[in-house]
Amino acid sequence: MASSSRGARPSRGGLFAWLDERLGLTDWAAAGSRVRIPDHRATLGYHLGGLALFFFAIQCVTGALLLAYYSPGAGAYESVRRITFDIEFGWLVRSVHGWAAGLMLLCLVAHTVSAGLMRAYRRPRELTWYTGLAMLGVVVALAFTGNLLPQDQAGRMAAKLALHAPSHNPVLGPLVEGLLVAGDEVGPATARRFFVSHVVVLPTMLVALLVLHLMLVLRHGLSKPPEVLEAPDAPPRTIPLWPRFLARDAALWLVALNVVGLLAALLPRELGPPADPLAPAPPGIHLDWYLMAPMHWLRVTARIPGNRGAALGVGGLALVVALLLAAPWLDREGAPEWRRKAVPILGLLVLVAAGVLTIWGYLELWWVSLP
Amino acid sequence: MNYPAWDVPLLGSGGVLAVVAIFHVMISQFAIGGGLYLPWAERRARAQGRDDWLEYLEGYSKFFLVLTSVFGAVSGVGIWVCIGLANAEATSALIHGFVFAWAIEWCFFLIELTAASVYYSTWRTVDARTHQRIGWVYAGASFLTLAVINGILTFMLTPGSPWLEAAAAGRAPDAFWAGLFNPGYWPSLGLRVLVCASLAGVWALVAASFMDGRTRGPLKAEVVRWSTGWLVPAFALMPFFGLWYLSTVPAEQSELLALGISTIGQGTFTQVTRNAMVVLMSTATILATTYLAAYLYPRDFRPGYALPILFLALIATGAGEQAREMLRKPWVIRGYLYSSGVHATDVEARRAEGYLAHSPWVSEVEHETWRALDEAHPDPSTITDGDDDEALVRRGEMVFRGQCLSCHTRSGYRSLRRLLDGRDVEGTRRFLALLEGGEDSPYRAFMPPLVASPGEREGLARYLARLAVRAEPSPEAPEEAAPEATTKPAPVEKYLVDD
Repeated sequence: MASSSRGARPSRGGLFAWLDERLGLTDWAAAGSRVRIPDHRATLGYHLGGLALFFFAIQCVTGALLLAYYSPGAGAYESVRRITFDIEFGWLVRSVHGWAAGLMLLCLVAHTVSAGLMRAYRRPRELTWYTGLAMLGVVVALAFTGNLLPQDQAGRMAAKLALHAPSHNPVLGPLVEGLLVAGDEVGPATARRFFVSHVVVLPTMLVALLVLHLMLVLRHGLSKPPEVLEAPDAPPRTIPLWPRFLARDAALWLVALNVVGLLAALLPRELGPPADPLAPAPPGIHLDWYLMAPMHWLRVTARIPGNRGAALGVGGLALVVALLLAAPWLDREGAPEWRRKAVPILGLLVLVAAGVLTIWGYLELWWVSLP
Repeated sequence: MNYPAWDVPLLGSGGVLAVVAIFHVMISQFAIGGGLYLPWAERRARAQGRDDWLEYLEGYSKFFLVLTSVFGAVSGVGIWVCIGLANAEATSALIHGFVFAWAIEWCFFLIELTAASVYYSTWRTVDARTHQRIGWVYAGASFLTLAVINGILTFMLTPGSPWLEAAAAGRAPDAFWAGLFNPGYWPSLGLRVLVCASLAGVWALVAASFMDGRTRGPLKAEVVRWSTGWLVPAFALMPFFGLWYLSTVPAEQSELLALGISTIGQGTFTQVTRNAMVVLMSTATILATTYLAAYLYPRDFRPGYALPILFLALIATGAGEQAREMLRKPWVIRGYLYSSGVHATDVEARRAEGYLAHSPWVSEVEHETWRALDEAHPDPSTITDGDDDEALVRRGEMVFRGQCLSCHTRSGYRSLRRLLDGRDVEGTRRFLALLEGGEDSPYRAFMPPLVASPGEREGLARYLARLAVRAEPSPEAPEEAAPEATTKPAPVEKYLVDD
């Protein structure tokens, strides 16, 4: 920040000048206009991270509002019922919180895919890639823990379904049971742990990761797609972060806010019957869309008799995680050409498999629901 | 029940009408706003001697002509087909009440269509002054079509007491002008003109966004900036006209708007509030996005920005028109004709003799069977015999088709299977008693009174109870839901198994 220029500026009156002298607004703007964003065919991809950040801001605001009326523990269901059916605009805040969560995850998945396809994980951006992956994991955990908080039957059954999956694993099983389930059964004690994770632990982790991620993005600049990099004779067009890129961002955020509002207005979050440990599982119980692919993978591989099925299931998921983590190392400078090319190809394969598994899972649910 | 019922599965007759109407309104209001945009832009270009603008406008007028006269006119005919089928009684009442208005509207419409075609085809063949005049003729004719149709649309919600008094005395045609220039006319006309101007701006932005910013940068920047100006009047004046319009909406109807602030319960009635919210939000977003993406950086304004703005305009239009329709419930013509197609003055008489008594859609044999049943069982709820029960259910289905289908479907839009929530016969009987009840009934503000003889009512109760049975009965018996329990959570739809 060029603070030496401050003395050269004529001192003007007015609120802006007052603020500028104290906050250095002009210097910030000048610094923002020096940050250049590549402008090319895939520019839209650069907005995905900002869009996810915008959804996170919505989550913080609506989450704080929900906290004002939500009571954890035995009165949880009743408090959510009041939010949905009695309190003015309670339904709106709750529906926006629910929809924005899904859209935020969607943005993060798209952001990860777009960064992966641009091979943005390569040196020197390895840590940007890892912090991004960690944030994706934290957000999935946020969505998953939030689902149980209303203490309705559907949320309880979904949590039970997911927490049951690792119960046969000798290492993960006891860990999950001791740390998350907090007892023999998914119940109020589980909900309390999920509540603490959802409003304290996970958001703190997310903010810390986010600060690191943004610092790294500013330090290394944005990655360019390979075809732009491979045409060195035509230097890519760039636009300044401030004000042009941020104006675009703002327009996009407004449209995104509208999409959330529209979804909340047309399809407000309903509230099912309260959690009842004695009631049978409602037909067609399933996890939200973002966990459908791994869940269905486990379900499909479990159909193979014997231990091989379970090994394939867990092993397959572990391989995907390993690929994501190893991508910067596999695709590093000096590595054999076939190995560098393998990363995006494998990534695409995983993406296609996840898509197929998700659709397959929903089709099976639909099939089972037929009379 | 003089007309056949239009039974559209899932979407419902109203749903089909809504889909056609939303697209029609999008295009026809663009036809009016764009009708002003084109000659105005032409005048400006000629005054400044800008041939590049004129060339651009010629191309734009082709897009305008094709979109408005082909799609606009075809969807307009589509609306006539749909309303005639969905609510024949109301269509008949509107035609009979406003014969002259429809006739003159068609004259204006013919002038509009002709002027649009002539305007497009004479850019290079007539002198500048004549071409400019053709443009103004188009603008005037298209505005007059709006001026007429706005009278009929607002009449349905606010017919006004002079017209209602004349209609009660059987002299409705005498009150033609009072009905046309009803209390809601002027604020609604103001709102619609503002919407037309905004849509002219939005569509012009869509067309301009396809211009290449690198080769035609200066022209593109000018066209984009000038077009954003068309959204400014709406930004400044819409709150004023909106509040004026709301002040003409009758109190019982505006109560609906407040209902949805605190709850998403009460069936679909709270949807009106949510629609109003969508309209406010998307309108504000259109204005802000247009400023950020189009006005600030006109050369960069690409279809990727223009199309979301168009999409938001579609959302705002659709939500607004749907809210206006729902605000009118339980009436089609307030104080005169219920949305079930029953005239307000006919309710008692039709209850006494039976809703289906004169229906030409019931066979003579069925009429006989039902008459015999009524005579044999003064209390129809005691009927247990299988054949008699079937006859009752069939009778109930006919009442269902006549009075329920204009707003509900069996298991799609406003699904009765979902709303009935597994009620048994005793439950549907109590529910129908509430619908038939007096002014204190919780449903009377939103739903028309049930018009049925005791036998017809019992038939409807049995038909609805059969409809309410889920495909897979849950292990526990469904609990009887108290109809007053407005805060009762709605069933989780994903667990309901529809057919």
